[in-house]
Amino acid sequence: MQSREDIRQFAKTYFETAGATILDDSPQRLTVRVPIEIDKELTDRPYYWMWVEATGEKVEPQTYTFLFDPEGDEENPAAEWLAPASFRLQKMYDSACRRGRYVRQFEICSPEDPLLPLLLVYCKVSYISDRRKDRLLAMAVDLFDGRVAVDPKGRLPPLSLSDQPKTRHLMEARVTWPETRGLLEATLRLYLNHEDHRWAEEAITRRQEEERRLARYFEQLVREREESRSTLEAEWSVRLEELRWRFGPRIVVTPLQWAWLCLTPATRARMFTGQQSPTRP
Amino acid sequence: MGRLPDVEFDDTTYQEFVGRIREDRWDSWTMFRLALEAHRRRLSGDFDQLTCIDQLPAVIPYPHQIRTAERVIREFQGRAVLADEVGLGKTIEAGLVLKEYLIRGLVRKALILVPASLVLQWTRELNEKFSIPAFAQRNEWSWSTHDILVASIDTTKREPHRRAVLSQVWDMVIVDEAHKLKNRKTKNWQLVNQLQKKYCLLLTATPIQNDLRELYNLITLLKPGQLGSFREFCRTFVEDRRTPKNPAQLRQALGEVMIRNKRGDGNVEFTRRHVRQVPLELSPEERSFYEAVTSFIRDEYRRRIDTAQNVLHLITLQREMCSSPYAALNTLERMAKDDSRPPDLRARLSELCELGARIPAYTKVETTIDLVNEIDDKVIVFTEYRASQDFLLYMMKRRGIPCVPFRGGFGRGKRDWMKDLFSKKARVMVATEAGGEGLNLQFCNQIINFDLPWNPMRVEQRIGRVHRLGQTRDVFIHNLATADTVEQHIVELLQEKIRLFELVIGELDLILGKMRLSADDFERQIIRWIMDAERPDDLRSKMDEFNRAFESAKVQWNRERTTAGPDIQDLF
Repeated sequence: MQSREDIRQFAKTYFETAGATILDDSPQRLTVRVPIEIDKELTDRPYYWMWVEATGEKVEPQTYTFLFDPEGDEENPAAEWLAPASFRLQKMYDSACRRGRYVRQFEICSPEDPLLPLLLVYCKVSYISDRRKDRLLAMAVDLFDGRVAVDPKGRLPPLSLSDQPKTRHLMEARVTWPETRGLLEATLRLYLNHEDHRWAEEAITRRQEEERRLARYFEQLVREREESRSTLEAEWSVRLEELRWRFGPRIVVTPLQWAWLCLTPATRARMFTGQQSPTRP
Repeated sequence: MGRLPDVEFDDTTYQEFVGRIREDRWDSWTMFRLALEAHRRRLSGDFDQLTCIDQLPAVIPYPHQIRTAERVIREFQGRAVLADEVGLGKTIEAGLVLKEYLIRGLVRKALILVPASLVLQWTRELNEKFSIPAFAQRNEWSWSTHDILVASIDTTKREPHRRAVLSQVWDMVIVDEAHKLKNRKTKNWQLVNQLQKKYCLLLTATPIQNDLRELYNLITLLKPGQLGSFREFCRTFVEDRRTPKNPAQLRQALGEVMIRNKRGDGNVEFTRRHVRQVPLELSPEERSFYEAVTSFIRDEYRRRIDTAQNVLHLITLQREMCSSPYAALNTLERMAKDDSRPPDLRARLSELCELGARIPAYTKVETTIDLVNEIDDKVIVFTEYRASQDFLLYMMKRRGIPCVPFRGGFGRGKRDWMKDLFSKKARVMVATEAGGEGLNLQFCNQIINFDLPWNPMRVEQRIGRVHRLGQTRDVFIHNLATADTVEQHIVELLQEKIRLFELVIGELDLILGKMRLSADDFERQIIRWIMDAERPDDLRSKMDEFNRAFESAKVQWNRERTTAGPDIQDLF
């Protein structure tokens, strides 16, 4: 569950990072003035913004006051409660997801340390039948020697990073990007292969039951000559297609975020220990 | 362990990542961390849990509604007939299922087919209660511009719309009032049958109206073959139109596709309602004011009707007069100050104002306060008028009764806040509007209707705030009725003739529907009777006439509801 404090922390960090001006910040309330670009992402007013652009109208940056407690503030009618399911918080999530997808970072180190390239990818794995569940996992590919590791919990390793390298000893990647892409997919398949897929078997069983029921039904209709055989067969195949569509099963892997990191040998070694290695289950 | 199913690897972000390397353009690490947190919060962690419940601030579903949504998803794999009795919230159940599938990304395109009169209501409810971006279908273009559409079934089955919906595939189709699909020879049935759909919900309170075979047609849309071929069904399950053969077997087959919650099923229990009239007599000053204003309204109304002028403000004045002299006085003063009116009219208005100002105390307000003191528990007082509300609040505060206001204009935060104050600190809530679904006041079981709306649906909404699932005590409704005024007639009509307060929520709409009337029509009729009545007896005879028509519609509706006979009732 998401606490008020979680939401407050998220909102505050989000606005700071997005270049907003924090006007008031307390445990109950946050007031910010947001740049136009961010305002566009937090509202649902495409036509308004189209109008602004078309007319060249000057717009003042908008100020928002968010409450973290629904009983917060009755004096300010514009203050809005940032509830877990609120439209605004969802918009902030969308915005963060759009603005935090691809990073290039260097570990902070002494000038003599070498840094080695590594790719960290966060993926959503969706198990889909007539129902669906998702999980988030992380994969690390060592771009120097091609080792791969999977973190099934998709954690964020504790790293101290900067936009610029503090050393001149940057090692070149020896694995190409297409090779990396191939490694990721192959590793993931192997990893998934070792999981329990009874959910998929159950979906197939349900689908087969339904297919048998359809067969009994349409064969009976053909025997009864209610309608022409071709009409019935056409409908039958539509219904079969619906069953395949509804029950699947399938797995969809969606890589969400990509981090191209340069790490010291010690940190790099830590990335590949203590985590589950898919190649040696 | 099970074999690995097909795995798809989405390549979109890889391509973008390679593009970013080329441009050497990067996002911030802090935003990356926030994005990861956001993605994690949005994960549907397991197959079974109804994740949408936490994401619906505007609706608090009842246990039977949640259970129904869960069963539809887990046991029926998204295809079901929802056949709850009227008033138990089929719409909420359907909304929960749709929302859950949307959150989980299992539905993107959805089509909701409803009677034309319900298109806007469904669209509004999905947007407001469920934050589902549903659009009302307007024209041919709508079909290709929106993913979630609410459309009239009668429009949809005609060209060019029919071709447009049939050329697409729908992740989910919901049909409300699905008893309109009982006959498979009709265009309605054929349309729904031809639609290519993944999940499908059919909503009806009367899965069988006249004939068991209607049920067959409904079920066959969802699960062809569940009841065999039509001939097999008739052979195996139909004794005659209303009597099933092999009821146990039929019941089991239905149980795999249909959910029917009923009142009195234990968890769907309503407590009893007690209604009483609180009669009151006007003081001599109030009486002379009332008579003077009433005859003014009648004169003006005739004059304006004859000259085809607007009479809306007169109707408002008449209603305010029913509420309290105070509310009417406000309007009279405003009219008297209006320069655009002829001087003689303004003189007469000023006289009326003086007459009103002479009233020393308002009997109705005093009666209300006495009643509140007598009840000695939490009370919600409803009035139609802001002026009456202000005056009530003022008088109660003067008498030391802790009270809070409630108005339609309050934002969500303030609504919640007032509700909280009412439940924790105040004893009385004075409300001008019944408020949306967000206002659930089950902790209170006493309602005073300071005045009654002339629209019976609004009366129902008022009661619905308090008398709903989750109310554990009997509910008491006190209707103030001022003797020898229009108000007394209204209270009599609604309370004693129509017996509005004894009907189940939702029932009234259906009975009026039988008379081909909407609640708004009903309201317009009342206005016409009141304004046209020369003498009080005229009003009474009009109401008696209406009441006879209402009684016979009610009998007809009751017959239809139970027409299925005892045998069929046992099926569900």
